[in-house]
Amino acid sequence: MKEIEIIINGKAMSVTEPIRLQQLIEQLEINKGKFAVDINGKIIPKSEYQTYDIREHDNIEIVVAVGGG
Amino acid sequence: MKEPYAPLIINNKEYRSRLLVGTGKYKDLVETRDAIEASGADIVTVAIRRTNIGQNKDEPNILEVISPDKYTILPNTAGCYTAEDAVRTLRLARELLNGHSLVKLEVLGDPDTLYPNVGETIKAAEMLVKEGFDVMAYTSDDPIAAKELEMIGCSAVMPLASLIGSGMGIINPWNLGIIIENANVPIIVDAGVGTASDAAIAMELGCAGVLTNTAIAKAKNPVLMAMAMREAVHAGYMAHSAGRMEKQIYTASPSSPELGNIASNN
Repeated sequence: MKEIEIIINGKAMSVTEPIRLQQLIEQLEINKGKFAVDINGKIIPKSEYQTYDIREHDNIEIVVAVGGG
Repeated sequence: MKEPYAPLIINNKEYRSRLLVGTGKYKDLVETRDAIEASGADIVTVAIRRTNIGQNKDEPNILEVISPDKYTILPNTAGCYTAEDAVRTLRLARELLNGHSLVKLEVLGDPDTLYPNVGETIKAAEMLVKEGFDVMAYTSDDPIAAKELEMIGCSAVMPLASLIGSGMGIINPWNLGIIIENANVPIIVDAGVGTASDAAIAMELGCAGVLTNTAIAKAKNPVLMAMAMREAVHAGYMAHSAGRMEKQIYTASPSSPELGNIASNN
């Protein structure tokens, strides 16, 4: 068990290792509706959420669709 | 007589409506839904934004109101100022929309005018086309830039009528005319349409379609303006198909017969 620093949507956050992407999404309570995840500039497909290990300094973007023109 | 009708074709796919609409700036999601429905549009743009972590987690999502089952969702890159950010945004959009490839590329050059950065737009378009995206590219009304985007392999080119959200209408119909004349892909006016007549003029010029957001969302009655836009795009399309009369500068021509007038001696 170790506290690691990560960045989510431009904000620093610490989480306890080991943690998979799926667990992180559940902790953040965003597992509802459509969203997409990019870690360090790479798209993570939904099928990999269960197996993707979050690492120290990961830069995570989680996006949704919003109104726009 | 049967009204002329041809669907809008983008990358071999047919769309019934030639009006494309955005979903920004509405009062709420109910108004968004009602206006989009009233517009009759098939292609509806959305933006891609960071989710609010820990806030409003029960807030309804735009895709619950504008369903991808009913509409063709066109994710955009609004707010991106570099090719790199635009490409990253659309890769996320493709993942978000289960592999959907039709996208609206816009790379801005300046936050005051929101004028497109054509250099970055071309760079992004090249990358996106290589990655298999069907790119609808927002650009300036520069005929050379429009042609270049077509040559790269964009599925549609979308020159501005005037600045985004300005409602100033079609500032340079001659440039649009040159772009349309030389194009082999659909030319869709995007940005600057302020009211129904602007949309009709764009269609009369020979545009394949019109994309508008603010003109509907910021009308006093958005649902009614959405209907007006639908009619205007249709009217403009028919007028273009019909072929307008020649303009007779300084020459009048009476519409009524000249013979048999009771005041005449004939």
